[in-house]
Amino acid sequence: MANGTATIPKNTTDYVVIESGKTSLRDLYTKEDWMAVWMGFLLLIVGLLIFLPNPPEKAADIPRYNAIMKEEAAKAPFKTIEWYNAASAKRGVRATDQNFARTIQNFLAAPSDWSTNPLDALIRTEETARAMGAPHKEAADKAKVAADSALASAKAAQAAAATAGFKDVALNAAADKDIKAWQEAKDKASKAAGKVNVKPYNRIPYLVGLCAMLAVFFGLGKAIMGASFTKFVVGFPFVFFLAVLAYMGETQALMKYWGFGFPLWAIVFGLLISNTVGTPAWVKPAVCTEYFIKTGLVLLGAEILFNKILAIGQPGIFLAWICTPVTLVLTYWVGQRFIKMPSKTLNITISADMSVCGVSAAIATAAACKAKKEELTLAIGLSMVFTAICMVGQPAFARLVGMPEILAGAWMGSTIDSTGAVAAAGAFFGEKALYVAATIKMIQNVLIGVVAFCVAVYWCAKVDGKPGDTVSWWEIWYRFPKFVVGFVLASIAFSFIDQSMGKDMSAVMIDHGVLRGFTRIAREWFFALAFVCIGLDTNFKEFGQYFKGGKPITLYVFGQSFQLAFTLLVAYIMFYVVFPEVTAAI
Amino acid sequence: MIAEDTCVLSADGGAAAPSAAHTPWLRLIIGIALILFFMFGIGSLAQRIPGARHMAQAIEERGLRATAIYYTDFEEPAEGSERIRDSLAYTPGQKP
Repeated sequence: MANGTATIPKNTTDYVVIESGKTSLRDLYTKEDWMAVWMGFLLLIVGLLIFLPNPPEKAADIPRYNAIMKEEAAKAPFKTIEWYNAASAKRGVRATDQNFARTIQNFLAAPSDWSTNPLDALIRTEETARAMGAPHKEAADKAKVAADSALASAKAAQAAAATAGFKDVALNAAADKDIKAWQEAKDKASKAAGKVNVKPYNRIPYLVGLCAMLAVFFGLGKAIMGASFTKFVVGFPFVFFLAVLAYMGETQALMKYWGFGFPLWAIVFGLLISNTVGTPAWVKPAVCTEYFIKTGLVLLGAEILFNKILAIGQPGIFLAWICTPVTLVLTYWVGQRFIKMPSKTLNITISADMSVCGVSAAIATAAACKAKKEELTLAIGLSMVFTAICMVGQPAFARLVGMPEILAGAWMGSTIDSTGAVAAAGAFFGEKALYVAATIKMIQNVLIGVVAFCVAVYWCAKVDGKPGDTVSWWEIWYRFPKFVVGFVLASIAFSFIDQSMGKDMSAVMIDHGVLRGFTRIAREWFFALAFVCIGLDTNFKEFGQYFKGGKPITLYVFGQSFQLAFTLLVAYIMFYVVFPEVTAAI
Repeated sequence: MIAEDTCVLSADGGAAAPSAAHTPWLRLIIGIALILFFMFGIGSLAQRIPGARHMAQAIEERGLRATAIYYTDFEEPAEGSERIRDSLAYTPGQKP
């Protein structure tokens, strides 16, 4: 900072977020909290300006697709071929499929998959792409033939049912079965075709360009706050390079199966540098954990769309918004009362990442309660290890006990930490389980906005003060992490836009436009940079004190065990006792 | 605040003996070797865990991003919620 940083006690640098306790108008452009809000808002506005004036032409067909589904739903007691075709065509309308959106995605793209040669993550020649696609050609052709044959059978079965006026129960059941078989075959053919169509790329020029752009973007923010633009820009490429390596750690063929994502690798590579050769002095001006994490969190706020909580009806709300907060509060309480956790901030960060949605919840909660960097790192490490175990163990257990697909999906979606691992576990079990699990997790993801806000208020009002003291609203405001204001406002603004556009258009323009086509990719880069900085700024030895007595593991095991049992019970009651009609419709 | 000129750790400084000066770099090389061993050694061995190979197959077949940290990071939550939404909004057997 411009003044006073030399006198900041050393231990304050251990925190994810620190507040000064005073506030003034100058803070609006000198504090990282506010700067993160403005920079996040700037990107969100740019995203809206790019996408909203350019809806895809096919968007005009959406009412027609809805009309077809409505008509077909009234005609037959099962989903007809026309029903599925209309639904599939509607899902194919995406703002991100337009040329300008593809250019943006190419520019922001992270390194791609590789198995033995890391350079494959950055460059894939046309020859390599052809060679990669060739072995899958035969399987793709076979899958296409199977899908065509399944379609012919489905058409014949549906015609037979139609001839009987859809009144013959046996013919209806046969048509329903054949149509579902065609859907499965079509899905397999589509995936197989995707493996043949391997595209070449050279990410290096884009990554160099992105590095330069981000250096200038964040450097200008630093300059406005009174720091040196030049020093930041000089150090930034090193941080960016480690972030690229972190993505390459994630995309390695074996690691991606275990859910070891870029946050873990970013911390590992940062720690490796800082604890061996040391973080070079010229890099230190670009080591700005808070700055990157808060800007990323403001962008994440826009992805918290409150309308999503209705995606699977009332059972989803009960499961994700009742079970999860109960588990969170109980785990935190047990952590304080019985396990005697060494730190309240570590306790709430672990409780949130275990009960809500892993890494993203840990980041938001740690920032909201001003946790230490080591605490956030520890919570993420625990989450990733347990996620890898649950991802394989839970679907295996569900199969062993013969759990119904929707129950298994709901249970796994609500209890496995990481969002991606939830989908993998669901896919391991079956297609319906995959979609139910991913949807429940999405509803749970939205909860992190509420959790982060409540934790920030609770910490300012109760935890940061002296026991028994009455804290004024002004005092709470002084202590409140201001970027949370931006985080919440972004969520409210985008939820409002989402609601006003209607579900179908919002899916096309916001979800598959502004968010997935632009701000989400930027948010991931910002988090990758933040985690690299955490690693570059952390001493390995400092982790020891948090592991004393294995308390974090005890807390995690307790919370996760409770969540597994409690959620299974609530999922069964909601999907099979209280709302069986929802289960039947899915 | 974590300022641009603050950092917990610093490189080993001072006039170190040649062997001591090499130690940090040796540690770095060992660290890189350990990471590579974890990626390729432990990672491959872990595929022998029952269920793990099947899981890897499911991830590969569907092109899933098992490392995603939020629902917007991959396609399945959007696809799943849209399928469920259409199924609930246009349930077969409904009167128009």
